[in-house]
Amino acid sequence: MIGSRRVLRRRLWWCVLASAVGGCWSSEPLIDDTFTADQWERLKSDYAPPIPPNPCDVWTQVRRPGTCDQAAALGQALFFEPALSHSGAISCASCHDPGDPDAVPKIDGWFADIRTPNNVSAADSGWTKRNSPSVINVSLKDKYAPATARGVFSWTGKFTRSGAVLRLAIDKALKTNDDAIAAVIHNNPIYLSQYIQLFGTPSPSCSTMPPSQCELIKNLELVFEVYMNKLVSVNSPFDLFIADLPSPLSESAKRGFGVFVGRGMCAECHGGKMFSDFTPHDTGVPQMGVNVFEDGGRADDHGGVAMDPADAGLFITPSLRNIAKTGPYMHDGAFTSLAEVIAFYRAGGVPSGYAGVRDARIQKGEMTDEDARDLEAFLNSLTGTPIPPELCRDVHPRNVCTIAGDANPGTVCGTACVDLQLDPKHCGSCDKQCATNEVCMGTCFPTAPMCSPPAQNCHGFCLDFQADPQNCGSCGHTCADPTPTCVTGTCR
Amino acid sequence: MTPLNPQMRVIIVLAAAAIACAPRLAWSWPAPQFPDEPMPPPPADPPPPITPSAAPVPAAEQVEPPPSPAELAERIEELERRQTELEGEAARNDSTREQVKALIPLGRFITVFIDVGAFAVAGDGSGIRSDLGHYHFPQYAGHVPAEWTFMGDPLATTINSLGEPADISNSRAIHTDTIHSKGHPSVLVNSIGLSIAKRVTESISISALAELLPRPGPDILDVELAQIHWRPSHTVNFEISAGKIDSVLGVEYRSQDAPKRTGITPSLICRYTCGRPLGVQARLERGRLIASASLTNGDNFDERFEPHLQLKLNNLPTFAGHLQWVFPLGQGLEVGVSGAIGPQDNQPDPGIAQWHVGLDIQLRDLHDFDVAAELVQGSQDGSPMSGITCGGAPCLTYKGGYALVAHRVNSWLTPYVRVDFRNAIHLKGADFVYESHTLRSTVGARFAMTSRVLAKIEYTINREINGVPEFNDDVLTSSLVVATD
Repeated sequence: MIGSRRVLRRRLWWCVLASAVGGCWSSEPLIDDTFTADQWERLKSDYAPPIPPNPCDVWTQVRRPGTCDQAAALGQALFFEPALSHSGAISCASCHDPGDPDAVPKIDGWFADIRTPNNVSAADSGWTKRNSPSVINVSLKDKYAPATARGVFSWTGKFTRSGAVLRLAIDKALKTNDDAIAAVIHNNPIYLSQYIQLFGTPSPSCSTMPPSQCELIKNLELVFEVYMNKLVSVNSPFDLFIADLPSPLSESAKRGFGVFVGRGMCAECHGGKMFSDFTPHDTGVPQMGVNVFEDGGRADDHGGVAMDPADAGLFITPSLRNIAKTGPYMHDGAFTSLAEVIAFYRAGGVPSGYAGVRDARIQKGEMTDEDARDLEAFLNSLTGTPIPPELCRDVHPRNVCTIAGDANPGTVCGTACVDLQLDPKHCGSCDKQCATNEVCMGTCFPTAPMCSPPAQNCHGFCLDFQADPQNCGSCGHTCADPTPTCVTGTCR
Repeated sequence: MTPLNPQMRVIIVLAAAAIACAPRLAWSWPAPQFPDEPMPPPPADPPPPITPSAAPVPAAEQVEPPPSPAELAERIEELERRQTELEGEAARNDSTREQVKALIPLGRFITVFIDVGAFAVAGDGSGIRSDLGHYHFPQYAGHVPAEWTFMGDPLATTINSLGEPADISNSRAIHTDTIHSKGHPSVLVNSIGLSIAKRVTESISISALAELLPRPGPDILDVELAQIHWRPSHTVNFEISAGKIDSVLGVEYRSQDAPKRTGITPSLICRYTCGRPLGVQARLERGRLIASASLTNGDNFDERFEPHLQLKLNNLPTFAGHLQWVFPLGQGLEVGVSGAIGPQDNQPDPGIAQWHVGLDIQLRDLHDFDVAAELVQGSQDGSPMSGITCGGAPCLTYKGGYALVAHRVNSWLTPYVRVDFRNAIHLKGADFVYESHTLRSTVGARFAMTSRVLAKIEYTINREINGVPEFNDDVLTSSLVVATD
């Protein structure tokens, strides 16, 4: 009896051992050598390609008389309009480069400032403090930003709508004011016509109201927003890959996604469909470059709120979509290549030279050289489809004005409204003057009319320089007060 | 559950075959010659045969002529030469015997053991996974990088008595990946141990333990124990020890070394009670009460897993104590409580506290069953830095326990089962956080092949609980321990 119990016990022990060994052991294949199946499923959901919202939603909400396309057209025209700037030399497109869709080969535009060797963007006079970010995909931001980070635009999150960044442009880049902007609309018959179609007759001036209360400016913010909402670029190789669609994504880039989420720790701030948490962080980016000013970040311009020193050095995380096309990088354009950015974070940042207190998570990690290469490959795979050419063109003749008695619109040249097709002093463009034996027909053409004396050739017309007050003594010499009369070729 | 893969089936079949063959091996194992055993006297040489000059012939048929005086003289000379040789050999044997006798006491206080094992761990060999995406513990998003938000227990995949995990993966609180198996099965010399215990005078004795750990990376020489014991009285069972001493917390520390441990791997809470700090310890036995107390430089954590300076960074010692009552059940039922309090290690502020309490029970040999169980709880307060919680000194809270049942089936076979758990959160600013919530079941068998040869094999099922997703980190490990004493 005792013996059989012992046998039973022994068998019981062996059964426990065998079932434990045989029943529980399993292998755990990792996806791309990094993720568990559970993590991968969740990541696929979190990083699934974004679905762009209807760009006209913002227009439909305000229920204006005009159409969304009309609003976008006005926004696009104004985006390219240098008359908005104080000097008339720069426009939004100067710092948010739309490329050149008509060049051969075509130059895609990513609406970022990729030109400045000094990292930061050029303003109307001098330099801005910051590098201009791309305005592509701004319409996706609020749809996919975390609930706590919606309504946060610009490097510091000062503005609650993308169009409202016009205020930043007016103050910092265009170096102008609301009245000057209003004058551009009032003085340009096409802009005025478009504006009236969209919003009705504008108020004559904004000078009597605070900047944020000027209806004309608010309306212009809206048309800018409608236009920028059309600037969407998705369907990158990574988008296709994560959506299980055929994709040219390289193996290196796939591994790079693992580094991005894991060892690289990039996803701490750049996670999600937009590759950004749109939240302010101080990553300790050095203030470098010849024209870089000391920049307190969010502490310097915290949307109407008193400056908070605790906000020093904080900047909103930018999206990484199209990041390979939108260098230089960081708020001050401190780095010209993605490799430099990766090296910066891989080293755990720099010990000094930045504002505020650096985020504690910026630490030297465990990235290897191969990880860095894979990560760069991944970042290069975030480039989406280019913006359609029609949205990258300057579609509007700028500086249009009205010439009394002329059905055709004129062009503003200095203080005069002229017809560039006919005016020999502004032939084809402002201040392009034709010779006396030339006629203006959009450009200067030489002419030799047979004039009977005393008439002489003046831009193709036979005129009497002895008596013509518009051409007194010579072609184009005009008599004005107090000697308005031409007598024997002299103004009297 | 995923079915067994072919590679592991082969390992298990081999392991089973080894287990099955173990008794036979035990019976057929040649008795080793140990230096502390008395050497048998050398066998006396048989007398040298005297070669007859011719083949013997029956007396009736042939009478041998008497040897000539010359022949007799030659024989006597030969015998004398042989005698001289034998006397020289005997003298040499006596000398050797004296030398061996002189070494015998040495063997009595020096023990050498070698622990060799083979193991296989599921997954990547580690007991942790990063919470990539912050999906499971979103409260750390924005504070601790997902890569450094660890789920599971970094010591869940220990494969030997030292408590070394097969791999630590990207762990940050534990830096040294001594084995770094990356999930591959392997054979390992777990340790080469040298234990010394010697009475110096009537009241003073010394003991020490050093282990050499051959590892894939740098080999490690670890002095585990080095203590001096003083018994001031022969009438009172009271002893004071000083040096690198044993812990006084719980009961597992007593049998943590490979030759003494019932199983192979330590429990999940051994890291808190099995340390061997520098300090002074007193132990008193009176009747059924056993009291121990210690004042030590640091805590009783196993420094292999919580690397810290042997010398203090702050000015207060750690006090630890253990009270135990022994009841007459089996060979003794011991019930104890223990605790420790002191400043947190590895930081300079004596005001930052660390405490530990524990409850233990141990039953020896009741109907061939041994039982041991412990429950512990403790905390390290940690300190902030630059406004970051626990950024200066790490914060740790833990609860854990185990129950071990072993049954001596016969003189050589002792199967055992252990269940242990640990719930702990270990946070250090943005550097790391461990959400360790693990429940383990271990089943194994111990084969005492001879008094000096032990073979063990065990399988541990690791189950992640309390929000930690289940992942594969089960452990199959074995150990062959050969000791000189």
